[in-house]
Amino acid sequence: MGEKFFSLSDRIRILSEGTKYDSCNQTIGCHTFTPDGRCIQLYKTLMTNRCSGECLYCPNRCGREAARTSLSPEEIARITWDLYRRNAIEGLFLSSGIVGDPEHTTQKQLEVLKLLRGQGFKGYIHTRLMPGVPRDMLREVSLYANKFGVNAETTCESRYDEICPNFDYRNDILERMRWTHECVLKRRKEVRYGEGIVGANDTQFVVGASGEPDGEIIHTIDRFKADYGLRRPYFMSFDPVPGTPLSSNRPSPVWREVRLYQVSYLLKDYGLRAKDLDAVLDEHGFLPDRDPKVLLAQCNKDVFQVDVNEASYGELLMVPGIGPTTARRILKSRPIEDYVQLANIGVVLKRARPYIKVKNKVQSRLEAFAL
Amino acid sequence: MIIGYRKDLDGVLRAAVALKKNPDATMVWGSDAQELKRKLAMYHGEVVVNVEEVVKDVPFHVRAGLWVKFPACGPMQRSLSLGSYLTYSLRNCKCVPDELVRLLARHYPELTAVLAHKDATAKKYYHYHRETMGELERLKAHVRFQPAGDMLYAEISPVHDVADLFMEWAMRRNGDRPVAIKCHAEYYLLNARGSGYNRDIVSISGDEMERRFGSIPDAGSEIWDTFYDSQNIGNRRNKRYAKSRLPAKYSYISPEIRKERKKIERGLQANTLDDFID
Repeated sequence: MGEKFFSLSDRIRILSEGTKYDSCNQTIGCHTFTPDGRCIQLYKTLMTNRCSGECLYCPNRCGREAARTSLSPEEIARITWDLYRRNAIEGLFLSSGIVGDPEHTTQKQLEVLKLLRGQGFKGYIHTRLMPGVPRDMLREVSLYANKFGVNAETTCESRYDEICPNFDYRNDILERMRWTHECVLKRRKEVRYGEGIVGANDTQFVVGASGEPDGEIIHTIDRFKADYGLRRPYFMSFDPVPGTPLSSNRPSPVWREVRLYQVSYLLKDYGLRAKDLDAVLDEHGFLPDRDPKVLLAQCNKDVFQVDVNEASYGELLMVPGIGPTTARRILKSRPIEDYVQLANIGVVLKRARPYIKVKNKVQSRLEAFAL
Repeated sequence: MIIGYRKDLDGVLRAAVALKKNPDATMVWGSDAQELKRKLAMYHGEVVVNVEEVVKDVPFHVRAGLWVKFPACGPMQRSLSLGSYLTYSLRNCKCVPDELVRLLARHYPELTAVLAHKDATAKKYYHYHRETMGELERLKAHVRFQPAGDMLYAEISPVHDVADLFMEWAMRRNGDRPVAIKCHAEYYLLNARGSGYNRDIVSISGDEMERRFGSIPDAGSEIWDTFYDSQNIGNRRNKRYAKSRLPAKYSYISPEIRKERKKIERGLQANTLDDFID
């Protein structure tokens, strides 16, 4: 089916539905929320859902029976302007199926970016790049987009080959992530204060498509952080799509995605490394459906209970119910006299109580909270 | 002694210094010069002065420290300055300027001590400041402009006095075309220089508004509705969480937010009446 059979509204619906699992966010406030509670900040769309790739999990894979359509760069620019002027969005999230080859698709994406910026669009633009995007085009995208990156999808070459047979993990993904990181660093030097933001490298994993355990994902994130300046990974639970080779596989539970996000924050904001979290994984390398920070604290009982008036910032961060903000407040507010003061500071006492003592007073035994 | 002052940042600071110098003075405020003049005219047989006569200028150390930001505890939190504390507190509908002046006078010359929230009044005005700032942020997030030709139109009805701040923001966001704002019963035209006025924001009459726009544009947006509905993941519906993110009390801000709040409460309808007719 071609786009001439679809109205503009139908095409918007089809292509936006193709991005509903894609995560992206900006720090500016949300304009509204969907019934599943996710914030809407950007107009998320695919340029086209035609794709020459044969990724096993993807609803847009080549050869699958589906309504195929596309939006022209002019149409995307017009819709973005319309929604932006209405104050319904802060910018655009642009992704696409691969039409022909990655170079041609990126060329089309660049047309949208140039058109919008040429018309004076000052909003935020987040672009998902194609695997195998040429280096010069990646650099060109960096001149127009605020954030850009390639989806890693999974953790290693062998798993990637299983689910995305058309692309090479080492060359089409990892090399492009390295280039993206270089472009981000270069762009950050070029952009002066107030001229816009340049987001860090970002990527997305399809959780559960190739049977990878959580431990592998966590170690991959850690490696990406060190090698490619990854700041925030996004996760998408695998959901079998009818008409794809993985349609008979079991869907990945949504809680797994939530736990992985919690772990990613522990890596990002709490200064933990992947090896510190090995203790919370089960024998198969998966995270249980419990708060990883509480599990980590229970695995390190000998460290607790910590005295809130003597503990270092790092020790406070390890206490469930105390985050970076609260830990800083505790350091500023010392000496802490009682639990009421801690509650006022923002400590979640329900979780923190077994792991802390105030003025050598302990409220509960740690064992009582073991399970 | 009766001291009159205007209900703005400068007026309140001067009034605090004046009250410190004359603790027995009665303070009278007016939201603008005319109102102040009218109020002061009611006092007979007493020494009535304007605050500018008692305090020629706000002391330098106060002005210098006014916009000094106290570092926030976290990177996502806003740091607080005395200037923003007073500006937003004064714009709150529950603000009693005399109470605020007395609070400042108590702490003068160390006015930044107000930010420590050591007494109930300071804490109350901190909450007022947060309330007012919150309303402004909600307006910025949720007000939807309706296109009408090459102009934009929006209706707002803020509880607190933040309309001018919102209009300044709206003007910056849509700097390339005229924007009409209906605030309660009054109409304003933003980016008005391009329309022949000598200011950026002008108040216009209802007739002028009608002449420019014809009729008020329709609030509906098929494109937006289609996009919004397409972003929902049905099997992940989380009504309680979504409702907490978009509370019903924000529904007054725009018809779209009202509609989206309903969609959160009732879920997206899989079928419409048209499906049955076809």
